Amino acid sequence: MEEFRYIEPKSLRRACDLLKQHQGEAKLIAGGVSLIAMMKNRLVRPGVLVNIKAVRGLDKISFRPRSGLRIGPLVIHRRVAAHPLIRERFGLLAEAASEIGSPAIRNMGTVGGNLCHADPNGDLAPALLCLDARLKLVRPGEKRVVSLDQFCADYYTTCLEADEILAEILVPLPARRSGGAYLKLKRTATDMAVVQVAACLTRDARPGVCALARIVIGSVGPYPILAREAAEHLVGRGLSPEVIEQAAALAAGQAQPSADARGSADYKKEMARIFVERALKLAWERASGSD
Amino acid sequence: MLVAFQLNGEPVELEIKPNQTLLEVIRRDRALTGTKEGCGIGECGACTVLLDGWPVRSCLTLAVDVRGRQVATIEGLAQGVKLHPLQESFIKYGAIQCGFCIPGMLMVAKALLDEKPKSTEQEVRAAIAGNFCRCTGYVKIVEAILAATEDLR
Repeated sequence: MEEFRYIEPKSLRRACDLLKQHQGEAKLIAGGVSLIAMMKNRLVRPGVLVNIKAVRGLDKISFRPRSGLRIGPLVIHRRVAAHPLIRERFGLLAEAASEIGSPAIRNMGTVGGNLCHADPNGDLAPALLCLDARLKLVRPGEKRVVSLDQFCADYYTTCLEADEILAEILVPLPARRSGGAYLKLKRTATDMAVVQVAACLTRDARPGVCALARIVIGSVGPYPILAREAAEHLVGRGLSPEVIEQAAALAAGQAQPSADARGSADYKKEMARIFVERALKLAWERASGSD
Repeated sequence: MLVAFQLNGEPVELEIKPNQTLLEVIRRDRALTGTKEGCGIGECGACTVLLDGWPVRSCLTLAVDVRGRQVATIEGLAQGVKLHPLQESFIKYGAIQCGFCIPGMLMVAKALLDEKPKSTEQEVRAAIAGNFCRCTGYVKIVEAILAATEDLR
């Protein structure tokens, strides 16, 4: 690897200052799984690495029913996948985290790093968008909260300013009688996704009727896509297999995949349709079993 | 930078450059060449070592980042001349062909058995999912790990 200056600030404030001071040549590093691989391949050549692992308090998971789940950006994927409360109440997020890379990668990679890398095939962004998560971004003297929609700006590009840092991930508790599912089509056990689908459905008080729906498709565009039309098609309806099929077709209609080694654009579109259908069935089944 | 950490249970203190990976330090500075470099970008698992007991890719780990932590490599697995039960099992089941992936395989297997001594076949397969073997087809590796779980019970 090429040489770089390495700094371990002890506070977020200092980290932001360093990013500003070395704007254009500094990169933030946490788990390093994506960044170091890109540096080795010389896809990025930062002159300064700012490691935020020494900043305290960024590796916590906490939950309160009213404010929901809070995840620090330095929390590693293994902890998200294994966390009992996340598995029970935010199951699709635990499923997404357990699908990232390989076990060793999940021991290294962080939630914040995964989101800020903004890989179009990343696993966490579709899951968190489906759960309507918010991201807290900080820079000296300023704090803002954005949705995943706003955060993911383009391929490998976020809305973060040069000296801004993702400080926390906030996930609201899904409504009662909800069920979620995260499904990923991949060629091998540790490959990136061909397509991903995250779905969250809420049962109405009327039996068999869907009250709320959120569907996200991933890896079929620059960033995860919220399939609004498909979700609206489900709300207020009884979820028969036909209605689910129609919603899946609507969602797949929003996919804008590009052809690559993982498949042609048509193939990915078709797989998006099939995986939305499966995810909706699974989410509905789970919603039916929850109160 | 002077970095102190535990390497196979022994305290070490090394002068490390920020751009050195843990793999480079283990192999070049410490001459522990059991840990292999395969792809160099975290895909293949040949460089897997344990950091505080958990498998990580040493090719993607900055060596300066292991300050104060416990690093375990394949060289620390046997107790003197007495092989670890996993190593015995790999030999017994013929799980080794060219051998290049084996240090990584053994380290993830050790982490799995330390965490979950009664692992099922599915858990064994999930644990080695990130470790490529281009010779064996994995069957004998899985058998060897499963047999070691029996022995350790």
